[in-house]
Amino acid sequence: MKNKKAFEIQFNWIFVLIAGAAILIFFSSVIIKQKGITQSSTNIEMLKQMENIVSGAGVSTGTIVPLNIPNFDIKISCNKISVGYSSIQYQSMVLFAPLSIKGGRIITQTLAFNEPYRSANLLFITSVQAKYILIGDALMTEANKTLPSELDKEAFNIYDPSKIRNTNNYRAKLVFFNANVPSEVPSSLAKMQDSGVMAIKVTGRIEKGTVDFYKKSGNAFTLSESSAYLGKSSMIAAIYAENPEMYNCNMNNVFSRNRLVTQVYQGKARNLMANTARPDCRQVYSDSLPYLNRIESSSSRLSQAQRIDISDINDISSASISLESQNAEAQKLSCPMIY
Amino acid sequence: MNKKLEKKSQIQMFETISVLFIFFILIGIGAIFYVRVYKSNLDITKYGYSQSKSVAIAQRAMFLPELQCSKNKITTDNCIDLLKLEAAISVINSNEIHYYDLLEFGEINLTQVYPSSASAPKWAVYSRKIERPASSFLTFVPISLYDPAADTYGYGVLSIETQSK
Repeated sequence: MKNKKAFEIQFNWIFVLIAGAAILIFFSSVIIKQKGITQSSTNIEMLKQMENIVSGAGVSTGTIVPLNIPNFDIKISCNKISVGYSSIQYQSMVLFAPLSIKGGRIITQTLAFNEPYRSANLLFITSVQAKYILIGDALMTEANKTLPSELDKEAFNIYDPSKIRNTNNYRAKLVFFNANVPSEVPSSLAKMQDSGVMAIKVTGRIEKGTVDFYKKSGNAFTLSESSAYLGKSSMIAAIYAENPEMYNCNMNNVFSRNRLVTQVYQGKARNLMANTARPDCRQVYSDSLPYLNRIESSSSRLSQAQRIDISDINDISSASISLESQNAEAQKLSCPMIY
Repeated sequence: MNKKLEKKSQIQMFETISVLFIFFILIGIGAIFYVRVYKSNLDITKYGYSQSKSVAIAQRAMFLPELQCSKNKITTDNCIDLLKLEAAISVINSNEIHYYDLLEFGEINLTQVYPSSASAPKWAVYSRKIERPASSFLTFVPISLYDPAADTYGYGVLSIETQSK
């Protein structure tokens, strides 16, 4: 009888333990699931904010907007923005930024791509915790004036590694304008992770030139890829872009937009030709069509190129100059302007 | 005596089981109520997102370089170049995927109001509609219409309908 009592008591306790454990497991799983849902909805909320920023960039141009955001790790890649496991995919996004944006404060900047008419707005985003070191000639001065003052940036006319300080940034980018990239990384930045330090060499003028992208391998800079730029906005884009892949991908999208807008201007030039009675105006529009055709075909090639080629850039640049002179001629003759 | 003791322990266990059963029923009722409230909050948030997306798409349409007036690289806001418009409609129709990324599901129409005429000129700028949208927003934007050939300005209304699944 005593054994039976003892067995019943033990059995009761075991039963209570199992029931209690089941209740705890149930509530723990509810809490973990709810935490995951809340985290996902917060990530999506952040993505919506980024989507609004990208949309707003298409509307406004020449703006600099500092923003305070929650301390998320935002990942940006070609045509994609991710926060945690949530992401938005675009068909043709134009956004130049580091691969990872950290910190609670970001700077957004927009510049118009006017080659020779406005066809796209380039959006640049970076964190205030990223450092930009600009070295070079008059081109450096122009770039420094264009970059926001809120950025953590330093400008030097001559490269002196002893003047470059490590201010505990997660990312540092050295930009050399018409100056050679040194083979050695400055000693103050040598201990940073390889992915956190990069350099670019900009060679040319404000209108066009080439860009060489370098990456840090240990204590040395090694050339990873060369590309080209057209106009100030794409030169600034090379400064913001994390790597040549991001730069080339976004420039493909820019030239895709340029191709479409050029097709519209080709149609407008033909409409103007058909609708004007004046032979001198018709001549101007007729002369402008070959230049528009050249811009359209070069933009089409660049929209699909793996790398932005300097020969196509030169083609667009020279056609743009000729088209501008035709547009000025139309203005002089009091004809409706092409653009 | 033994039978009494057996019955007592059985009754005790039965009590525990029934308490647990009622407890889980109450939890279930609470969970159903919570999920319903959460779902209605989500619907409200979703509606808000659809509205803000609609505004963003309307802004994109208004500021498309393909349509915007420009003179010597200087663009004019809230103005559509009529000569560019005709070419733009053709370009937009030939590049559906590209413009879907910008304008998504919906329809954009332009109607000339002034100078008024018997048949008010109307242009279907973009159309990609879905049969049964979950939500639909219509935005009307007054817009200036510029004819570069005649160098005259008119007045029109841009209607932007955005839909979501």
